[in-house]
Amino acid sequence: MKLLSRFKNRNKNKNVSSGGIADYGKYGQMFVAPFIVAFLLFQLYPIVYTITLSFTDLAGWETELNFVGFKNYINILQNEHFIRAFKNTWLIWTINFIPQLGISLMLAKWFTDHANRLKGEGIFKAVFYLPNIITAASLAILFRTLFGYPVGPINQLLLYFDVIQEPFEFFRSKTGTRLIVAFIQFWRWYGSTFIILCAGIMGINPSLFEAAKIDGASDWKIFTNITLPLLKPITLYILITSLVGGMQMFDIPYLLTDGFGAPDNAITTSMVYIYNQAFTGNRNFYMSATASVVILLVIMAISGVIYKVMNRSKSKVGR
Amino acid sequence: MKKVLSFMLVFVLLFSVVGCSNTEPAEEQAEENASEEVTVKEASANEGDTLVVWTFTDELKGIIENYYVANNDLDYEVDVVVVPNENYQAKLDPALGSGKSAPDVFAVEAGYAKKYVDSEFTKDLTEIGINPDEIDTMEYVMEVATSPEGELKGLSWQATPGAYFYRRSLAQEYLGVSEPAEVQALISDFDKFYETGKEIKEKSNGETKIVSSLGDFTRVFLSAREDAWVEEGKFIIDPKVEELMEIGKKFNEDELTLDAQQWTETWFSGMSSDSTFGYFLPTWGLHFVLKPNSENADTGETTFGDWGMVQGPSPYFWGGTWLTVREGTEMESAAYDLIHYLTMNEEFLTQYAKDSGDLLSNTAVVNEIKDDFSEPFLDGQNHYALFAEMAKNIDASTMTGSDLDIEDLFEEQLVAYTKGEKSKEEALEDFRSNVKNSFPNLEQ
Repeated sequence: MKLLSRFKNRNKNKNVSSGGIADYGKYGQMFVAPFIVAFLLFQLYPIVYTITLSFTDLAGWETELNFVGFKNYINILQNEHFIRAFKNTWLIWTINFIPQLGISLMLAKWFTDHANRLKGEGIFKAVFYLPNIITAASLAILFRTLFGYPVGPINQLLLYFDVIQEPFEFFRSKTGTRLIVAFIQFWRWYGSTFIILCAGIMGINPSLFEAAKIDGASDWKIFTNITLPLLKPITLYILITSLVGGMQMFDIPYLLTDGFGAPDNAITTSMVYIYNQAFTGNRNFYMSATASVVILLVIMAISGVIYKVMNRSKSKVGR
Repeated sequence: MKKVLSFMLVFVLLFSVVGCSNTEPAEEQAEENASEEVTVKEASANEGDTLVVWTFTDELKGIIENYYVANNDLDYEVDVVVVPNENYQAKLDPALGSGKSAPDVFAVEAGYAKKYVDSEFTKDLTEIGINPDEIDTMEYVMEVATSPEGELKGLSWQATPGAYFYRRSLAQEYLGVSEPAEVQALISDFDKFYETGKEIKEKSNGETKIVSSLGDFTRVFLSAREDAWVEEGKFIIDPKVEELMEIGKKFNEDELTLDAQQWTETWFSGMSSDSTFGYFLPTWGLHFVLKPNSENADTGETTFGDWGMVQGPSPYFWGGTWLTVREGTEMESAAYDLIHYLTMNEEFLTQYAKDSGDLLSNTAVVNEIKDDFSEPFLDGQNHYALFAEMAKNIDASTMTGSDLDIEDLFEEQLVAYTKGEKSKEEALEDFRSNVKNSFPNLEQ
């Protein structure tokens, strides 16, 4: 109910100018309008079509939609290939995200702490961000060659330093391949996360830090009691965008090995599953559509939960 | 008198009518005999100014640009688009389905040729002026491109039997012989091949292996199958597939291979160094794979002239390119010209065969030129005559349209089993499961 009344009252104060201050609300709406129009034109139809497809059994060169009700949804939740792909996606994303957030936070703290006076800050920031610019295809080929067996550079390095006695076939090890994918994702995105966190920290009122220092708080206490809580909105943003991006992880797992998630479907992520269903073999568009809708619902649910949890504690910080 | 006359008229009329009906069946029969012959329509005139050709390697692009366009005066452009084989079907299928930005002529590879030949998207070649009865191409090439309704949907200029290429100097050093006939005697079946493999490994102290990757064996065993992957909607795993897995495991356990994967650095490197004794490659493998990679980029050393060719432990065929015309194309006349030139023009075929050494499927030209070949890369051996002989035994009846997709899924299980990661039952179970995932409509 609260939501409904809030929705009704949203325009109440639109044209009231309090004490001579001009109201720019409607300009905001005008600026957003092009996006809404483009979205409706180019993205709404495909989304609706995908949802429609998930209720049919369209595959290959067929052109007529044959509706089958909820059969696809019931089947996909029992489909071991889809479930495995879903688990793989979560596993790889978690292994990638936790270190990513941790290290980016640490770097952000060092780079924004004025007491440090780091030289060449700008260069470091550029270098951290660089991996994000490299195309996924190049990265895939690079890492595939690096970890090649039996004479790839990494193997040669490990043999030279006597870490291993015989070359290790990384791409036949499920754990190895998953860690490689997680590492590549971490390496690509920690720079971006770092820069956003830097911006977030710089947005905190410096007088808070000064006040805390005067009161004699230690660095760690300042970090945990001032920086982290006030970073909550930014962390929320990073968490949700990383989650959405992670669920859609496709380019690296697809290009790194044989396109089917070798070895033994270890790195078949949800998107690799969807792609292979739609564009190889029998080209089962209905399976891909169903899987896409399921993933959409999962992401929406989890984003909602994260948002609620973050916002509940937000009100505590304000006091 | 009038009555007699009228009666006579009636009788005459009656007899003429009866006479006509007697001759009618004869005329109908004559027409039926005529319609059993193939009706070949003239290709309609071009309605556009560009002939769009899609292919999956740059082999065809080179041929079209260096021979077709260079030697002919065309009043239209030929635009050859190369889409890598891994993405070819994914890009082609939606284009054909919608008809938008689709090619006029497109090449199909053996691994999926049947899928397009059996579909409604390829044109019957008799509709653009090609008469199957006048074509002198090998049987199996024509059969692959013939739809179940008996329509010829595609043609090829090449036949692709497979052979085993070995290094003469390494054979002399480790086996004591180097001539093709002698080497063939040592590897004439897989048991002998295995023994020879062990001998080479021992005598060279593990420096040289008889074969670079297990992938080399795949096509050899798949060609020897009796059942296709899919027959009447049912997915079948032929016993030869299990034999392949067993042999692969045996070779891996005794370390008789370089443990490389085909088409990787390590696999190519053996062509210019002493690490590999031989490769299983077909006709196009000689000029497309072996020759270009025979020179070591770092040291400049080359293995040119040190190779020999034999049948190997088992006959097989590998790949092949067929040209098809899209149903609904506006460039029928141009399509006819291109296909006729590339597959039936004896002048071009002779020249191309001499330039590249590729085995043609046109029997007349092959018979004419096969005795004149002496390939310096193979130390003067006449590989052409040998390939021509091998081509006669090719049986392509186990080809299906989903071969490439299924074999891609099989590769992973083969590697997993031969490296000891899975048991055979598990590997076959996972293979079936992956095929079911990709092709839910196939009966297992």
